Amino acid sequence: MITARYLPLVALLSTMIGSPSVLAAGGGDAAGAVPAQVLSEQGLYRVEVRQAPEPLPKGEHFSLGLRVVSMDNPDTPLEASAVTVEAGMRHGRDDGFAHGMQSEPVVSVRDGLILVEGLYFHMGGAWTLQVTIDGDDGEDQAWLTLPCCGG
Amino acid sequence: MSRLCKGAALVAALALAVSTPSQAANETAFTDAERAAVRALAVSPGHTPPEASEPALADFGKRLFFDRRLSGDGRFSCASCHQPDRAFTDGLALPEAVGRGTRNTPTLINVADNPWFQWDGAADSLWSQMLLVVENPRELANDRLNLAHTLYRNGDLRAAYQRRFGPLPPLSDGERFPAQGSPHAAPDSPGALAWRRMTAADRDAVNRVMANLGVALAAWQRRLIRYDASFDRFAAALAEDPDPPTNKAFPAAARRGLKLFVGEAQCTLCHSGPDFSNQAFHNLGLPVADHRDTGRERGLRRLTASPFNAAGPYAGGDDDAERLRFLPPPESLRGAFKTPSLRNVARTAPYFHDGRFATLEEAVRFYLAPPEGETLGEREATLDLIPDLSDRQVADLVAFLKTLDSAPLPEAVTTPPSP
Repeated sequence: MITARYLPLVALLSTMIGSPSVLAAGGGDAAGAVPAQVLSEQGLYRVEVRQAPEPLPKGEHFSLGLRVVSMDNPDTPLEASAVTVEAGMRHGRDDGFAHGMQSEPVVSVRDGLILVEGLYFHMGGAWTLQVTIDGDDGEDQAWLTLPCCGG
Repeated sequence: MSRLCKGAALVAALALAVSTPSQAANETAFTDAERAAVRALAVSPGHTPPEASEPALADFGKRLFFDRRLSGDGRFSCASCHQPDRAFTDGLALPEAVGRGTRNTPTLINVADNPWFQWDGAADSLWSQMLLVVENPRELANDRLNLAHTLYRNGDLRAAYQRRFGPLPPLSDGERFPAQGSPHAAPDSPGALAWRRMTAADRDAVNRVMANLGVALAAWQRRLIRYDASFDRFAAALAEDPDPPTNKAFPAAARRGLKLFVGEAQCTLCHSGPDFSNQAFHNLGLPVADHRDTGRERGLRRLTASPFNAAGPYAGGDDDAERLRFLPPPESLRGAFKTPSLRNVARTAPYFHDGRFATLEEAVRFYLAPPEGETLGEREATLDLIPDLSDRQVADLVAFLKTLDSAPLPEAVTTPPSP
């Protein structure tokens, strides 16, 4: 069940925005934290993770709160309709997922953020969230590595 | 043998003699990472669900469980296949009840901890899964109207039901409540036509009776909880000591097997948590068997179509309807089946959803060399992570799996009630 207890605010350090070390596609790692933000593959968009449970839960649904902006217009977030998501585990693959989730997330807007509900990780390890953005600047994809799940 | 070779052999023998004790220690001592992985398999006190809070309701559920009147022909009960002295399984590849089933009978021990029920997760609550069994023509082959009438005309059942749930509908009114009928009866059969002719309110009343019977059965099944295997005692010792003493109940082979289980063999990717199941559905690339069972694909279709799911009018306060918002497209999980718990696995042969493997060793070896043949859906690539294992490693894994048997449940729980 998704409850507010799974949505503690992840501290998004404003000083990190624009930091080259963070602005790398495929941010995050299996053992570490949820990335604060990533750039899309072609550099058209930035995906910021504004809300996430800490740590991400295993075997329970959870939500992420995202803010997606165009790099040409970073003060105006994109609408939820411009965003679709998919998640899975690569298990060492360069392309594609070895398997996906067993749930289908729902994307909506809440409190000014793009809310991705219904994420569900059934295995420990590094999951990858694929965010597909179809905005005014064209279509692009961002990849976030999400660690599952604590300790 | 030349002198040089003799010398080399001697050095090798000495090296072997010197290295054996440390090798043995490495084989059975646990690293911090392994201990953490074992902790994740152990049961925390808060994990075990409470026993049924209503003893009278659980007792009624137990009576129903052993009662052959639940089947259409009066010959079979739940206990016909879920036999208490076989860890609530039947020892068969496929169950034999009114007909021959298509899926292996799963254990009911710790079943209350499951989030999804049946091999395909067609039920999202313990109480609602019983309806799938009662109306399955291969299992109890009953229909809900006939079962409601059975309850109504048998004083013992009727009294027990009404004590908890209140009056039954006026089932003596044959016009309103035909003798037989179900929405799952064959299309245009008398049972299907009878069901459709009923008013919506009367159909709802019969459905409510079915749901209540399920609630009673679920209350009893919440008593079937056991987390007291040799493994649990070893895990508790390991939490205190990285190299606890070996004993007969958890021998050296089992220790090596456990290290493999949480490490190199990658078993905990799916067999994780205190039930040794991630409660997810996986396509193992099994060659198609007779029934061309689509697994979770069919389960999702049945679940979403059922008025007894958590979003339906018969759901209780504990049922989780929220997760139904996020169900995946059924076809995405074609050929996938639920990861079974491994607790009591040595007592629950044969294995896999269709009982295709007779022994634990056969089941383990499947993962090392998947058989070829037509499959349904897409084989999950997670399986490629499993390395080849030596014969000894397979034997060690099997030795470990044999430590997951729990102590017998109390006789008061498992003995059929007196008539």
